[in-house]
Amino acid sequence: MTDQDLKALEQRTFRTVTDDGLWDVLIAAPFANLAIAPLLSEDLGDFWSSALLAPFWLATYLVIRVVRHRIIAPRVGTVRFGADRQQRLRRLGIVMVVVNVIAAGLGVVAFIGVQLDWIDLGNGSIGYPLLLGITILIGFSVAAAVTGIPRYYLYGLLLAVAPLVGEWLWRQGHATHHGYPVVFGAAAAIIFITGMVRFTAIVRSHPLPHHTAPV
Amino acid sequence: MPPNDETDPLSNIDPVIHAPARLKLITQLYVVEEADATFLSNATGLTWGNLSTHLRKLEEHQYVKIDKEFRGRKPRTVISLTERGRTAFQQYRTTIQTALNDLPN
Repeated sequence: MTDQDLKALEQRTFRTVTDDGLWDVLIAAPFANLAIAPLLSEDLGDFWSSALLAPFWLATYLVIRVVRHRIIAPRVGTVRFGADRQQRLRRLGIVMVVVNVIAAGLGVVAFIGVQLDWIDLGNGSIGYPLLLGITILIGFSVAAAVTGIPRYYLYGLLLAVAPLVGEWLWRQGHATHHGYPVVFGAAAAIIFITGMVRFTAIVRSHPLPHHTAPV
Repeated sequence: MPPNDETDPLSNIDPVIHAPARLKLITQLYVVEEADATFLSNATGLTWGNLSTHLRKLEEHQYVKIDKEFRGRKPRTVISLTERGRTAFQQYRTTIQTALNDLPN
């Protein structure tokens, strides 16, 4: 029982109580919004179609909290982790805030740039989707490394490639709105389905205990 | 605690921790701050009855602290390792490692 074994056990414990598929649903939510927002922009305008993200994401987050509390915790149990893990999670939170601010900043710059003719997304380079892709990839890679959940690397790759593929589809005339509805819609669907499969598997493999704890 | 015999490291092994079920429990608790009974039952594969027996034994030796609390209207049993339990586990690891290292190849 080496320090390495104990570290691996802690990592396994963390995965057991956190990797319930609900994070995947939460991840899918903003990308589903990226897919839907361009389609709504003709009716609602660019600002309000994008602003829908906040209540949509918040509602998803609240539903997930309730599901985790009512369905997952009684089956899987709950754990409070040590100071080291909590510190790593706090650092991950900071990285995620920075990544989201950069991604949101890119969106704002692109929006203002197009309005003021600074940026020509029609015939310009692929710099903007490339930058967005790299930002997403960094965010997901950090999340995968800290949580020890390897599929987040795959999500990072999937979502990083999405804006580039979307741009290509749009330039080829195969998709509208820079391909966002197609590529982010598909990516969000894949992530959502993966999460739901994981969630269902956990609920099925962890039946509710018949009695309350005896001790 | 078991009698301390400097010449035979195996005699220093703490029998309270050495039982497989309790070793699983204490190892699991060592890597977290606290866990509830549901999680420990899932993680160790122990039934409620066995879990209760082993936790009581660990509690008797003041290796774990068992708290009953309510989450909403549901009772919840939270278990954590005491300082004494933590030290005993560290000592157990050292003893086992020494005993294994002393074995001839």
